[in-house]
Amino acid sequence: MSHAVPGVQRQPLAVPTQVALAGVFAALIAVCSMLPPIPVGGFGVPITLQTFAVMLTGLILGARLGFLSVLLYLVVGLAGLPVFSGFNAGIGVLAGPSAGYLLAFPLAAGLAGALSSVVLRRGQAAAARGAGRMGLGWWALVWACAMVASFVFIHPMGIAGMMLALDLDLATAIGADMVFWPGDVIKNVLATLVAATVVRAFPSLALRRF
Amino acid sequence: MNLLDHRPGTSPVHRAPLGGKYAVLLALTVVLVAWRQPLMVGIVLAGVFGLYLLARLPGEFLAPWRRGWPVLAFAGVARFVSGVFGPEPLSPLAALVPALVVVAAVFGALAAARLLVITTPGTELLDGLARFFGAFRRLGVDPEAAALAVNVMLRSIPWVGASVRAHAEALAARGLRRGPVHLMGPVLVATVGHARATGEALAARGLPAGPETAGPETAGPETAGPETAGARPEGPGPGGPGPRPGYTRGA
Repeated sequence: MSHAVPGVQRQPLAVPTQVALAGVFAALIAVCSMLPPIPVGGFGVPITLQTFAVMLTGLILGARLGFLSVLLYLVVGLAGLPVFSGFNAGIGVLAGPSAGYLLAFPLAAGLAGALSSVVLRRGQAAAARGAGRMGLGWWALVWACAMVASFVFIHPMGIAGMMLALDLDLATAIGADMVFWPGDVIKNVLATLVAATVVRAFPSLALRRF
Repeated sequence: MNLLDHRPGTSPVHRAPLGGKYAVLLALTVVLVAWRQPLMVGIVLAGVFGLYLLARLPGEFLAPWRRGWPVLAFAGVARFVSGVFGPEPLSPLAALVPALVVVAAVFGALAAARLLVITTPGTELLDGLARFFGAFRRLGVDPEAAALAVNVMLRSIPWVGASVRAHAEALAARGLRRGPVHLMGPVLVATVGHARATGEALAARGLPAGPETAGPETAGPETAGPETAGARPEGPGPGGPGPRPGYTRGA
């Protein structure tokens, strides 16, 4: 049903497609939050695919639609539908340790989308001139976009949220947050690899033509 | 994976207006975050339990503990570590008090939020959400489109879940390693395809109705949202990643 061929007619974003993409990617984040955590690394720290899905949404949908999609997930969860990890729901999570992380997600997706839009546009232009496909270097830059978004929004806001909600001191909060760093690097690599697969299947997405 | 476990009832808590429930919940949450005193947290916890009694659902009070104990344990351990090794080191025994208070506060907020969810039908939650979007019309939010996106999201959760499962089984059947990249790559390609098909189906039905033609409450699929979303996972999977991820609205 879907067209692998980029759309012939160049039109601005059609509203139904925007709504569908935002809704379906919000559903993807919800599913990734509900999947059981995967133990990673020597410490067996369980990581959920939640931030993976958030970053992926930003990388694939771009700044505006990515931000809106993650915001939709957040609003639906705060309204009380159990889409957060652990099937928790409602405003109550704002008193929990994950409050800062949740509130940072839309901003992080938006920033990752904005930065990666620039990288992908240049990468596609370079690819069109040369090899025909974006090389590893461009995708490394996309990964860097996701990492920047993580460390500008997710981790600082997560630390602030833990300090507020759990009454922690700064050092302990940073320590608790650092537990997530290795998983974060892995998840952003994962998001970049999957984004590359998606862009190969739907090249128009790289140019934010939906 | 039942999305909405609603416990129907006729108690005052069930019959309270949704806006009032949200206001109380927000107030309780703010108090629990702002007043981290043992007495205050105890009073709020007792109040939340009283609301559960009022709703005649006292057995549900401990559900957030059963479901979310890792989060609560994490909160307690983090606060304990902060108390022992923090700027004002306490003895381990003395640090236990703030740790337990934090656990109780987080638990109280989760329990209060859960009471709202289990005493409100899903359709009412979604209607409330649509009204909430309407309040942001001046800021450029299209309430119709936002409510429609919520419905697309709720309908798509079982679809994406079934897609993940189907692709995991496909990988296993071919004897391939179940790496997350090998799994999520095809899932995402199918998901984007699903989103495009959904967008075409919405466009074919003239949805979302433009802001000038639509009345405030004309979004049809609202009532079809939670029931179908909750009922679908039991089936054989809504088409999986198959060739027809059609958006059959409430059919």
